Amino acid sequence: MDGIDQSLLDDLITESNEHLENVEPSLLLMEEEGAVSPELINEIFRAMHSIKGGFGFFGLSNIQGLSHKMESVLMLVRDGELTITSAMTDALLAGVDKLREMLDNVQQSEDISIAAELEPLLLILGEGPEVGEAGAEKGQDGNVDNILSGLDLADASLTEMKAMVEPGMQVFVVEIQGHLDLRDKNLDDGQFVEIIENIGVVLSTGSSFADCLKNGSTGTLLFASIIELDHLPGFLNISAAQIYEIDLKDLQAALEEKGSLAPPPPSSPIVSPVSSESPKAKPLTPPTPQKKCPPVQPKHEAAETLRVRVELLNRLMDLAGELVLGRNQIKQALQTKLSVALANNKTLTQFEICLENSFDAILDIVGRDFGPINETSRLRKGVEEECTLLKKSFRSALGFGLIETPGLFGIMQNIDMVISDIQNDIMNTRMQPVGGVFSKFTRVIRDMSKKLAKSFELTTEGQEVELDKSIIELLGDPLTHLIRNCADHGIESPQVREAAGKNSSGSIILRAYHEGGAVNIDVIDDGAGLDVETIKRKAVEKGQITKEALQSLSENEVLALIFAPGLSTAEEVTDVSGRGVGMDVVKTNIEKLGGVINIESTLGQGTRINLRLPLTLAIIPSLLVSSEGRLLAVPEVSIKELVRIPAMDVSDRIENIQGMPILRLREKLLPLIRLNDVFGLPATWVDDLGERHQDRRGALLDRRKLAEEFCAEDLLPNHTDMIPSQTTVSDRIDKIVGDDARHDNVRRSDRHNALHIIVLKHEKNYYGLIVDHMLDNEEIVVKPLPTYFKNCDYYAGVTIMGDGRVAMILDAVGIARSVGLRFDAKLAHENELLTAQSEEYKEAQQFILFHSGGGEKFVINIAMVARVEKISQDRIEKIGDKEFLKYENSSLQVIALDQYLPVGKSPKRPDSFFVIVPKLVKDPIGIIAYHLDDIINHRLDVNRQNNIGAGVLGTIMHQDEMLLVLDLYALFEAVDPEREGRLHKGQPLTGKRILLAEDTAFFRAVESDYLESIGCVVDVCNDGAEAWEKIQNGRYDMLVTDIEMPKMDGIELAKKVRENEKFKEIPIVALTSLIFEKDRDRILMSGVDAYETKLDKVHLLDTLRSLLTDR
Amino acid sequence: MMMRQYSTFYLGEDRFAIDILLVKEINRHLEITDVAGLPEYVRGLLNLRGKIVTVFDLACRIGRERCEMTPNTRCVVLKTNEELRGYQEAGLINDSTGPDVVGLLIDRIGDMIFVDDNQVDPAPANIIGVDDRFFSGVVLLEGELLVTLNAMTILAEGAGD
Repeated sequence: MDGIDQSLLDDLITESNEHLENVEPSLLLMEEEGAVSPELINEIFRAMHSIKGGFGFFGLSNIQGLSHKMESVLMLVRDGELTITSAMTDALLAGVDKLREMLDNVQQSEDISIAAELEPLLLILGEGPEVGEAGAEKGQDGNVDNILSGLDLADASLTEMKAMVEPGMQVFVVEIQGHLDLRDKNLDDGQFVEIIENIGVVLSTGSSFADCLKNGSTGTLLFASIIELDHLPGFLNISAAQIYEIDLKDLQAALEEKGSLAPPPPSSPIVSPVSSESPKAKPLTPPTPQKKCPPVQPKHEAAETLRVRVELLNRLMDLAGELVLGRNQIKQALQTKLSVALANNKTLTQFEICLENSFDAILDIVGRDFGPINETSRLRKGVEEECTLLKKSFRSALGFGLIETPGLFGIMQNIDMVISDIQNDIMNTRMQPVGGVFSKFTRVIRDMSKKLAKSFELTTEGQEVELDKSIIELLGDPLTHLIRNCADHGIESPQVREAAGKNSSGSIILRAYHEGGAVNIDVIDDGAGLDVETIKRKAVEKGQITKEALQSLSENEVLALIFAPGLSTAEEVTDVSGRGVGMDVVKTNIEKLGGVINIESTLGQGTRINLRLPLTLAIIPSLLVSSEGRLLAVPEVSIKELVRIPAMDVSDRIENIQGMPILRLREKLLPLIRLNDVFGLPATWVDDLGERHQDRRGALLDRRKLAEEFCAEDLLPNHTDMIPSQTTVSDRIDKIVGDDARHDNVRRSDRHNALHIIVLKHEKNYYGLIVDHMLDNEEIVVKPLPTYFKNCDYYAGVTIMGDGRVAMILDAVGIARSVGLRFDAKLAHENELLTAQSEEYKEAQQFILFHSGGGEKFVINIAMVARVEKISQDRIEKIGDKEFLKYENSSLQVIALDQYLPVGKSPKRPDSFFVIVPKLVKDPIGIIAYHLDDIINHRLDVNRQNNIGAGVLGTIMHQDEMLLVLDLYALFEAVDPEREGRLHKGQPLTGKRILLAEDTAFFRAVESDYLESIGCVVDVCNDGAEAWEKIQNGRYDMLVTDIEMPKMDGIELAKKVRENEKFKEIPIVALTSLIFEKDRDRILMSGVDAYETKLDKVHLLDTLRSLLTDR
Repeated sequence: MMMRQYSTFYLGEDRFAIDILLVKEINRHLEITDVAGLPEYVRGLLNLRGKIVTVFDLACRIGRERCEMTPNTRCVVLKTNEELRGYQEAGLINDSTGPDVVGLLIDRIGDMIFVDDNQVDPAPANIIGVDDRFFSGVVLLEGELLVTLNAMTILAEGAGD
């Protein structure tokens, strides 16, 4: 075996020291209080357990032995079998001191005597008498353990020894005084062995035995005999005080404690007379060639790492952030300086030119050609010199202001880079690959494999996944427990595995991976799995749960019981695991890290334990929002979704139930909270001029009710706000057509503003938080709240943004609590009611409502609008009688509706107007609109009776106004009669019978129009069930169906049709409003032949043609 | 007897003094973030090189009108208890602050003065119309009555409500 993995040992020592630091005050507290709180005792117990287990691996038996006994005492206390006495505390504290001493010098720990500390512990444990007796008799400080330590016992020899011990035999240890017992009796060691062989078998001889005759020292010999202890002194002629009976179990324990760690024998190993006449011929016990302990070296200096307080790292991180901030400010200042300098330079150059010019002018006046010496030339020279001087002094006066300040920008650039590096590195000091922890387990598994005589294959994946240092550090302990559990309890013995048809070698997978912003670590074994029944039985035995309570638990909840303290599924307690502390520790530690632990297990197939950990303790991803000009951060972990309610929908979708604003979100009612209400501030809104006013309504109320109130009270200052002005509508439309919503700085928080709602989790429920703006996502560093925020439940902490601003972090649960949000039965009931209505609601259509001054108002389905552009007349170019909107590289034909529809003539075009650019059509044509009025939701029937003309699908009634619904395909055909022919070269499908299933009235109208336009005979029905009814009683050439429908949806319908012998050949086309990847498979699986987007006439008809003509 | 150094400052026209050992620094860069939900006398939070400073409106705290921000306004940042421990143990101060970094907004900074402990008299009740519990004493200095602040009561939460 190779040398100890030093880093592993170093870590263990550090950890153990930390444990001991906690244990001491806990012990003292325990004594002081006289009573034992379960948490306290569990904490101490776990600490000792960790130390015991850890050093057991390294075979450091003194540390392990002492902590083992301390743990045993603590276990009795925990189980209530012992009460705390001051003697006990003394004994435990002495043990702690001794452990510290040994930890300080681990390499020599085996040479340190622990007898004095063990004795009181053994007394407490009631193991004392036996030892006490022997100790008293022999009157020396040794005990069985100590005597055994004189033997060179090795693991391997135990089995052999056990085999030699025949039934009825007892095991004894005899201590031999070299001079007294051998020399004085004229015996040599070989002869003494022979004496013993007469009455039993020699199991092992200590190295000391060989030398005791020569040195006159004490030697030890282990033998088994059927002779009883009382008679042995007679047989062996040795004082009774020198002979001890030992239990085989003790022997085993001693062997394990001892491991093979005893110092190398000073001379050649001792012989077994059993197998050889010559005592020195052959060692029974191999001379411990596997040293787990490396050769004693000068005190080990911890490598090239330095432990730094996390607090200090945090501070450094803060400072680095500040440094970046400072750098940015300097950079900006320099930039300003630079532009000033450039301006100065320009001025200077200009000045110089002026000077030159003046000089030239002077020369022109005085003439250029003079003789070498005369008055004028001296004068000229003088002016020339003065000018040069002037230039020079100007240059130097502006010196610093000029760019030529030597190297300044170079220096700045350098500092810039250094600061960035510093910040990165400081951030990185916290992040470490998880591989560092993982690598230890290879060794652990190897040792476990030897110890447990099982074979394992450890696979580690994702070593490169990085975690915050503080998390990595705390991860070691729980992972070790989990791995040990896998090896010890999880994986069966090779025999059992083979019998079960598994690979004899057990597989353990340790895998780290990123998922959903968290790091996951899986510990997977293919072992026996957890037996739910055993857990139940044990939990009841331990009194953790009553039988009755068990009944109501799900299997997963039962599995979770293994996290309770004191429950172990292991039948036997080993020094590695099994006392029922492991999983308890794991859970506590993982939760301390802000993580979650999950367990899945299949009996006979294995267990998977999943740890979900945050990337770092201090940095969380969050969404920045603003409300009333305040910057706030919402942790992403509590956000379910973001909802934007366009201004014109606010009234439809938000209502008041029991004084609480409620949003209808899909099939659920979502209570809404306004941040202002949380803060106890009045609601405000911002008008078009950007001024903030107090909102007199106080809360979001039903609009109709409001309208009445407003009518009654028309002196209200903001009532004009009820009538949407052109600007507000156009700016809404800007948003709708996908312009960056953020550019719009002035937001109104009155009812005409769009609402931005963050859906937040509150225990099992959700609620919506209304904010003014949603800004960026950012990783923020959480700082604790100052104490002055004691009464502010709704804050979770504070953070400092990259630009130095301070932002509060919101707490989802606290917000709900602070406004007394309740999710009562009534709301749940309303929710149920709503679910029923929601289907229709879901497909309510949105229309852009506009007019062009001719009296009629038009609507276009938003789904068919690509964008709306605000343009001026000078961008319109006339070619013949056609108008085109010019773009840089292309043009778009535009039409005025009054040219093609039988509607009132529009007045003269205003300077600027809008062009609605449609989509889902080939060669789109823009439609001119003078005013965009609104965007409306409509879900009622389109009245097709009022046949207005080609291009108008029908009319809808909206707030007592008749609106014309445009049919863009027909309209464009009217504009360009040949276009249909160009686009669809196929023959008409006259007489084909098509069954159309569509629950939404608008689509029903549009789709049947499309189908009829190519000559089909269309039979419409409102849902899948009706369609199924019809298809059975009629004959159809094709089924065209919507997907989302009440009663029976399109997928179910398609499946039913396909399953039926009679109709399975009917081609089916599915229509969807939007196709998501996830739906695609579902749709195709149902057996439809094709799917198309609703309203996309061109593609729909192409598909229809090809399906109908193919068959 | 002990000579102490005090930092003095003005709230309106009145001069106050605070033991300089309590002062961490006096700051003029005042980008205070207003935070909803705080007591009236807390103006907001300040980012002091990465540390969050709770900024008290000192005038408001001692029962006066909220102070107005002017170019002369300063923030006297106090040490935390942690930072004061050394002085406390050495018996140099018998005042204390709290776990958080707190800054006091003041109208204008004054001189540094040395005052002997025996020059400081206990604060008479209700001087200059404010609650005396916020003061540890008064100093008569060249005819001017100077109030010395008691950081502990000023920073104690809830004390002013």
